[in-house]
Amino acid sequence: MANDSRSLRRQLLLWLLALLVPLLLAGAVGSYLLANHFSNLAYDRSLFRAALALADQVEVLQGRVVVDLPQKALDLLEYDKDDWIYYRITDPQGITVAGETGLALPSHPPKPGGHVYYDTQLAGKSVRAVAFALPLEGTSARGQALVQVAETRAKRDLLAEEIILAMMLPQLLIVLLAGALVHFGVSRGLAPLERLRQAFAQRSHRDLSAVPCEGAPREVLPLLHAMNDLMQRLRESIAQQQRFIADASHQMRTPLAGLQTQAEMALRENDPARIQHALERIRASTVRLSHLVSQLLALARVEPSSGKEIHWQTIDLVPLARSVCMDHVADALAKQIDLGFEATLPKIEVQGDPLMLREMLANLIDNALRYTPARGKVTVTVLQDNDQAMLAVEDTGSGIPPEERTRIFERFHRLADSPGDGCGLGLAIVREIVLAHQGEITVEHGKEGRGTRMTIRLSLPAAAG
Amino acid sequence: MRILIVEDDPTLADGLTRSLQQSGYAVDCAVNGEQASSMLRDGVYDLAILDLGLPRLDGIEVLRRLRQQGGRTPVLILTARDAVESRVQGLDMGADDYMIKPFSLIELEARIRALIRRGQLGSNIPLSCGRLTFDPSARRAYIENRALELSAREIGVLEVLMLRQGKVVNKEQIMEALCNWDEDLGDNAIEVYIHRLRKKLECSGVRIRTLRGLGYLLEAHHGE
Repeated sequence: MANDSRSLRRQLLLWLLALLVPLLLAGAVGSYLLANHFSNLAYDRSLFRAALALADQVEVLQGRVVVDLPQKALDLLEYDKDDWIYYRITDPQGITVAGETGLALPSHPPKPGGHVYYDTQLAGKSVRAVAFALPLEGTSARGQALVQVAETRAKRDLLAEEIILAMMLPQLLIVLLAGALVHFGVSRGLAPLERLRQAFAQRSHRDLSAVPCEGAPREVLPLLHAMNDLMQRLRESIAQQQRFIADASHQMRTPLAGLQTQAEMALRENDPARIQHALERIRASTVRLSHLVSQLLALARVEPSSGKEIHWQTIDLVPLARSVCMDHVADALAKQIDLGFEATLPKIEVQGDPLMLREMLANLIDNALRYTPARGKVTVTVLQDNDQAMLAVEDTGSGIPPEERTRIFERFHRLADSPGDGCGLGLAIVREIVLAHQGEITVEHGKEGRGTRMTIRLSLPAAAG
Repeated sequence: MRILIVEDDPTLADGLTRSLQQSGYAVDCAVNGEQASSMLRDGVYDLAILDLGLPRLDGIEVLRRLRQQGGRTPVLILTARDAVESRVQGLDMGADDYMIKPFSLIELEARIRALIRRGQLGSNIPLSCGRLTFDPSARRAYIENRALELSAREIGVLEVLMLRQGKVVNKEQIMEALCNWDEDLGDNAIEVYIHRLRKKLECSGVRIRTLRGLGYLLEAHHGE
């Protein structure tokens, strides 16, 4: 998980850094400005004092500004452990009387008696300077002399660095600490997931019981509930499948056992009439078994899990339904049932798989013929209603009680005391096919409240898309 | 009548052979596709019952060769492949009918009779159903030996029904059979002919059933 770009831990850390790094940078800029300010504040005053001391040495002799600077005083002035110090004294006419002529004048000259601090360059070095305007009133000169003192920034920078360091270090520590906390917190937060993973890894594939939700963090609960829900559905589907297999094996074994018994009995028997009887029974069992096998195969073919795709095409239901009816004429005649076909339009097209739709209708008709007593009536109708095609099979049989109308579509479900020898799969096949076609099936009484009418609704091609 | 059974399952082949012999047919058996193909070449059979899943040569291939060589022997396919595609393929290849295993012998025999009848179509052999006989060459129908008074159109309708007895004949097929004659025939006209035929066929042991929306069917009926 840690190597995945979608790792929670990594994402949280990235977000945190995205937030903290700009803050840290802003802090650094702020610290730099503040540090400069305070170091200037500290050293500017001594620079000004030096300027004042220098101003004390300025004299006016016969209207000319002169400076008397003994070497010692100069040494004292220029001496500094860390920095170079420069000075310049300019008379009211702007003529440099003493000092460094290269020292730039301030952009805004100070008022008489006032002073300004400024930053400038001297001999390629960055220097901090003060300019003091010395008034010359009361002397033989007029105006003011300008006394400038500048020093390189070495000790200021040193102080600023110290200040920055003192301010930035804790900030950096906070960022690192936050990262570490997130890392640790995420690991701790994900621990329940890890425990879940272990629980699942150790689980048997047969164990479909719900995963306990106690102790799981609230954020993980929806996931757990969804998983338990899936488990529940899996359990149901597996139980259904097991019931189906149990039913199917029961349904197959019973006629097989009958076959075997009757055949063995016939072999032992001498009386031709009894042999004949046994053979009749054998034939009946065989017919039932063949029907069951073909229905099981048909069901397997139409189930979604068969993986078979529907061959969608536009089909005219009228000839299709007529031809399926034709296939059942012989059965209907044998049972003396009046099988009829009606279509309200010459052509009713739907979107579907012709083989599946034939299978579906064949099962409906077969069912109707099976459960309708002799001399009854079975009518197949194809009609169109607004945007739907309808296929109805109506019989005059004994009808299906309302409470049974949903259960009849379950596999192997047969009505209690129903006549006939169906295997209980026909309507399950019908339902699968209707579902695959996104259709609907309804069960109701036939006309006059007798019998059963099963109606299948399918979309017309335009609506089906 | 000579029938060739092409079936590799010994139990089924044995059962078919015995029961068809019992019904009075001469029966030969082939157990693989190559054998079947060579036996069919001489055209001595009135009908072939062909299994599709055969060793050596598939049933479909046997059928294809037969039709390619111009053999007109009617072929009934028996198949355990119930994918409808293979049924359709068989019919496209020139099979005359198909049945899916397992099947009932009674139905198989009915279909064999129908195929043989169809094979004799051009041969003008009289057709019979119950006590009714129809002579295609004379275009006359008899109940026992008494000739029936029928109009030309009634004869036409009866002929179609006799040729396909036991099967549903729809109105379009009846109209096609009558189209040599003439002008337009309405649905009602056919109903009228059927009605008249029914009256004339009373006491013939034959009846014409109406299947609502599907057509008509001629069958022998007993009693009542």
